[in-house]
Amino acid sequence: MDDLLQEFIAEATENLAVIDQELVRLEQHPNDTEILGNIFRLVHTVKGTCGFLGLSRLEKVAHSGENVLGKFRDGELEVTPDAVTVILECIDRIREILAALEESGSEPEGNDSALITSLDKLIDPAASAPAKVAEAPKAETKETDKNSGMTVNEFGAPIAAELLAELEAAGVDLDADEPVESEAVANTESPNLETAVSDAPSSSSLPESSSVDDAGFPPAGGDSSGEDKGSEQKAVEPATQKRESAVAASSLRINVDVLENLMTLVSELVLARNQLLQMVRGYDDHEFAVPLQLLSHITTDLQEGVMQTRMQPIGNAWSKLPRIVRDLSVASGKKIDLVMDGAETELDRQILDLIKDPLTHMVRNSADHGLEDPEERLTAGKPETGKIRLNAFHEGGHIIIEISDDGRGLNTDRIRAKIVEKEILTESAAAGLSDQQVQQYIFHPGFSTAEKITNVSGRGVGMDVVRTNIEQINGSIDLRSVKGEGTTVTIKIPLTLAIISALLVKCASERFAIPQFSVLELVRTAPNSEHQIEYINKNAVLHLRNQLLPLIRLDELLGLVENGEQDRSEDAFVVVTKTGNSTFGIVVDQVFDTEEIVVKPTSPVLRGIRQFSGNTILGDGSVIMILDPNGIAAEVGEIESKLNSKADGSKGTSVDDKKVPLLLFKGDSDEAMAVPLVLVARLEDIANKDVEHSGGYDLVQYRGTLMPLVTMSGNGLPDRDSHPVLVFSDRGRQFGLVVNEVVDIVEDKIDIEMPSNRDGTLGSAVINGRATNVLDSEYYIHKALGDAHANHSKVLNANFTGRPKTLLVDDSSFFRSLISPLLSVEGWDVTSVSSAKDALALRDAGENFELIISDIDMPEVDGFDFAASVRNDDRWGATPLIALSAQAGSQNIERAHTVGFTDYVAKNDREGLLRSIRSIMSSEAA
Amino acid sequence: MQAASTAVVQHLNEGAGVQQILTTRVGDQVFGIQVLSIQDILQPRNVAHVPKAPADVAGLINLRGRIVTVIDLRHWLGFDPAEVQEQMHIVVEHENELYSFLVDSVGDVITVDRDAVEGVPPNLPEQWRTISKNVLREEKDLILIVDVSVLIAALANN
Repeated sequence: MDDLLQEFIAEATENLAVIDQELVRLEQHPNDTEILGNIFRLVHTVKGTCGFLGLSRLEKVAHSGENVLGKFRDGELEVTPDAVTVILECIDRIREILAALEESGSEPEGNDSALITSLDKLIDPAASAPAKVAEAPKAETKETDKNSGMTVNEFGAPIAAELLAELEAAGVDLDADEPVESEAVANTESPNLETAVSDAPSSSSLPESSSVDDAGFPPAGGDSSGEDKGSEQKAVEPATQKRESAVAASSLRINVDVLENLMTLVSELVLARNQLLQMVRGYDDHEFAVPLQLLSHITTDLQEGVMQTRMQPIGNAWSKLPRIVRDLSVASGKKIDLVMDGAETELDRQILDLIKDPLTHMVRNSADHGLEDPEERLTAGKPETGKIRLNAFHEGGHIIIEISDDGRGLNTDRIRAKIVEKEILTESAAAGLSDQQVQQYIFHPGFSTAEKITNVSGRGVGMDVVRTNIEQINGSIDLRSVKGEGTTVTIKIPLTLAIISALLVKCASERFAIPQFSVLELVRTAPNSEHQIEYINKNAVLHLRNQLLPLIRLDELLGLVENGEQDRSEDAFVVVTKTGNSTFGIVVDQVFDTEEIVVKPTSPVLRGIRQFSGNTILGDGSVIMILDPNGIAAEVGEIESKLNSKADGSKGTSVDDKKVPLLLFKGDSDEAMAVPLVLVARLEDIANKDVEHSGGYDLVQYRGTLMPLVTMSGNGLPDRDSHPVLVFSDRGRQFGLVVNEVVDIVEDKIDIEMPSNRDGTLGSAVINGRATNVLDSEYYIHKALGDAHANHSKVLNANFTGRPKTLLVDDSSFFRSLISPLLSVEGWDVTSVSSAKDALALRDAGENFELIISDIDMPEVDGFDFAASVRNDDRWGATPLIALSAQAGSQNIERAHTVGFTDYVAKNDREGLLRSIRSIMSSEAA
Repeated sequence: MQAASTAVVQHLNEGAGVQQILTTRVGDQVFGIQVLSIQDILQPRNVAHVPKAPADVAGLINLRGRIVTVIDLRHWLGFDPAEVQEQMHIVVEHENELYSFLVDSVGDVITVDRDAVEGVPPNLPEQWRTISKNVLREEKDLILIVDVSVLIAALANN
């Protein structure tokens, strides 16, 4: 594209933005001639340049708009909202054409006659009205001369618009009834104006040769005629340009790439300076010391100066808002006052671009949802005009932006209803939230409470998108709302994206940067200290303030060690990192300092590595990689997804508050293990010499039978004199689990925080203050007594076509995972759900079961109510129901039978449960 | 100054149907890289290792404040790891990013007559044929003319 055209587009786009703002101001102050003059001048510049560049379509549209503006200024046309709307439409059309022009380099096809007609229509009445100028010019000028309230701007030139307005006013006063003969005005005005200029006190400051053109009069005067001639146009153009340049000479358009490059060079300069300073350090009397000092200062200033070029006032991001609010208020009939404070607050250009859309969205939200209709406001005793206030200010290295309105505030009841309706939370959970908590849900994806969808907001992209956008630039967003008083959204964003504060760490002799904003804390770990790294199934964890924190060893993650097993130094640092919803620790060898780093994107060749978000050059000139906590979290996420699948579809792991007696022991690789005591029949010490080997099994004679012995690792028995053995009993058959040491019996709750993918363990939990694996006893039953069970299953399979189905209802994930395998070993196809509600949903889905086993103590719907609803419906009415309960007592048992349970079994009595199932099934069969 | 000389070279190339290449040695093979595509030739220096990077990427270096991705040509071409630790860097710019190719040694700039260029024989390994379409017969050596942009594009796509 031709440079001239490109420059024109850039300039015109800028001018249009100003026009938008000025028009909205004009509507509020219809008599402000200064604003009018300004708008007129801008539109005229656009039009004039179009003509010059041969853009005929653009010129026509601009011309018609200019005509109307001319009438406004002449006072012949009243500034009404309707008229302004048409003008704004005209500006929008110009913008559209410009956009197409920018893309293709030529004017797009299109018909603007409708718009031009509606513009012309505004003028029509004025044009038909009799208006004559005959001798007006002379009188006009004299009048001006006399008053000579010449407005002079800082450059000593008269402000054209002001003066012109005066002239016009005078003209109209004198000869309101006479037709305005445009040519006459244009031609006669000029010489008179010239006199005016030379007579004016300011004229001395103008160059001797200065003609009327230089002062900027004729263009304005000519324009007022509303009938420009092409020849006039060209003559007029340079004058207007010159005037503008006088005002705008203080700014200069520069390609961003040039600035970026400058930035890089300055960073290098800083580096070189630092190296020099290092060299002379310690030699105070060095001859270079003084010049170096000077160089150092200049470099610092230069760096700051260059940084400054990236900064822009936030007002630039706000410039479109008055127009948006104005359109909205016209469309909705609301009266809205937009106040913008702190528009001069500066922030990085890049961030400015990124927050533009979220800000616009939130202002729209305030205008559309927040503010009430005028009547509603009056009824509520508020002023008719609603107020939206934008406020920006610096606070501790961040920019704070507040968007507040004095509207109706958030309707927490409706949000609550919506939370339940969208099945984000259950009704009782939603009811338990404080208003403040409820309000935060408007940031939840897919959440929009707008009752009706307007063309402004409520189209599904809502505050969640805003929040995502803000968080992407490491900002945060907060919301406070008081019903009836209004809503305030506070956004906190960093000053710049390009420079972040990063923690430098070392791992396997390589250095990395971790963005400071995702680091929560640093923990030093060492053997025998308060914090030490523990292992669960070879996964490192840290027990930090009663929480199990998954650890990621950076050296393993990045493949910096050959084999993770060898040479693990436990003397390390854990960088506790939080990203999104996951918190985890990154294990590194050493932690250095924090440093401000300039983030540079990685080259395309390296972009596939998700562990890094970029790279940077440190103060010493070395290149290091920046770790991406999100990418690393994805690794942790895989662990978490396992956790969820293990929890049988319930959301997250349920916390089991009930404490149970637990046997603590050490497995054959000395890891801490636990098993519910109720599952263990006896503890024995078996002498090594008593162990016999037969058929690939280690066997021991025990109470008259041969009992198989298994080890957790599946290896042979360790070489020692005697083995501690946990004896498990299953339907009259027994097996022994060989362990290293029986540690203790404690009472604690089992809250499995990290599920295991290893056979033989259910997962790990904090028991007695230590990370402990929970034994999956069913796995070993199967392993030791597998053949017997296989036979048993065959028998069952012969009786039923396919495996019989049973439904297990229990809110405790631990019991579900304990009982499910037990039942499936018995030959059942087990479906387990976490609540009565889910169970009934299965009924509604048409599922059928041979047997239902339900817990009694459950939140919301307990076992009794569940049984009642099962019995009251034909579908499952006849299915046997077994109650499982931790509470014994005849009262409960009686009640269970009354509501329709077939049998009642104590929760820990596995044998009892199996007995009960068998007897029920055999009586059913009979 | 630099722009002017570039313009002259450009003119020469276009006018006479010749191009200039820098000869470099990797392993026992001589390669030619078009002089016009070369931005810098650097002395051996420390290369920062990038974990998890493709094996063809040796790491990163800092060139006057810009980060340069260093490509191990020996690895790409299937030679054993360098016995010469001190490899030279040939820096080129491709789509606004800087890349450096590690070569064992740098020879002369020679002017090539386009007529003396032949297509590469089809029995070369695929990695070789990807980056080089032409071979130049010199007195004693066969010089493979490397198209660096094709090489970088191939790496970026992997």
